[in-house]
Parts: sequence; structure tokens; C-alpha cells
Amino acid sequence: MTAALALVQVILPLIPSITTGLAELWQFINTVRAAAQQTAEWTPEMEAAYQASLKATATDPAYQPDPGSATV
Amino acid sequence: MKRTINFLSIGLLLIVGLLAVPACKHLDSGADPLVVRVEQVQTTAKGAFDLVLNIDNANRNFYRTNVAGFHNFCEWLRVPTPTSDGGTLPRASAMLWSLDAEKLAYKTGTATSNSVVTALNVVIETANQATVWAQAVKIKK
Repeated sequence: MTAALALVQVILPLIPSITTGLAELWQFINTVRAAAQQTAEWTPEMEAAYQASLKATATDPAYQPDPGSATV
Repeated sequence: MKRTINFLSIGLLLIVGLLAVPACKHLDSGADPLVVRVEQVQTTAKGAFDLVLNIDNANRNFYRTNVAGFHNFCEWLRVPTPTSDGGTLPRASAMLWSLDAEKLAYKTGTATSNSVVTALNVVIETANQATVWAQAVKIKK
């Protein structure tokens, strides 16, 4: 048991150095699962939250074009 | 020390299936199947775009040099695009905004199901491209 805990303590910090994108992938999988379970139309609050999430991408660094590239 | 691990295949198979196959769950009474389908795609497509854009953003120089097609696709998603409310959003978000507007217009009876399906198919096609690219890109460190 002690050895297993020690091994976990060694491995966990290594995970970020092994991969990038793992957190995003997990979030994506959860998104897909939640969408698959949807059985009702969005409430007005859910609709507003979704629209707000789209608006937020205007300032999200991941959504910004390379410097000096595309413009409207 | 480098590790090449592709964690994306399993999750991305899920979204391809979700986008390509109509939903089978029993809907709550009063729920319009088309509206629910659109909202499912809105959710999963947003997730797909978030995924590829964050992967690319984590190391743009690497992908620009070594996987130019993927980076160029991400840049295409990022192009500032006018929206119906007079604002500007990245193209990925602008197409989702447009689909959302069509859905809302359909719910109020000012748009037809055909226009909704047309906008829906555009988003599905683009999201499928995103998932294909994400599968093709190796996550390296």
C-alpha cells in the first residue's frame, strides 16, 4: 500500500510533462456526454449562458489569430 | 525526453458519432427534436473547437512549422467574422452564433426548419473537420 502511494505520488506530477491537451480532452469528452444525455430544450438561462460563452471567445487567447494575420 | 501519446481517438469517435447519427434518447414532452438536436450540436461543436484551438494555442510555433494544415485550419476558425447583432466573433463562434440565431428564429416561427438544417449542416461539417484534425495531431511534449 505504501509502495503504491509512493508510485502514485511520483506518476501524478509527471502526467502534465507527458502530454498536453489532456485537460481539454477530458472536458471535451464530458461535453459530448452531457450533450448526448440532453432530452429537453435549453432553458432561457442555459441559452444565455451559451451565448455568453460564445461572446467570451472574442477575448479568449486560444481564439485569437496569429499576430499580424487575419482581419475582418 | 519526448512522449507521443494520442488520447484523442476515443473521445473524438464519440463526437463523430454524436454529430453523424440522430439522437435516440426519448425527449421530454413538448421538446422539439430539431431544437434539441441543434443544441446538442451547438454544445459538442463548441467543445470540438475549444479542443483544437487550445491544442494549437499551446504550441503555435510547433504546429505552424510541423503540422501546417492543422494550424491553418485553426487560423481559419479564428478569423474575426461579423455577427448578426453587429458584433465580431472568431469564425468558429460566429457560425455557432448564426446557428443559434436560426434556432431561435425557428422557435418563434420566423424561420423554417430548412434554414435551421442548412446552418446545422455547416456546423456539423466544420466540427467534423476539427475532430479529424485533432485525431491526426499527435500530442507531444
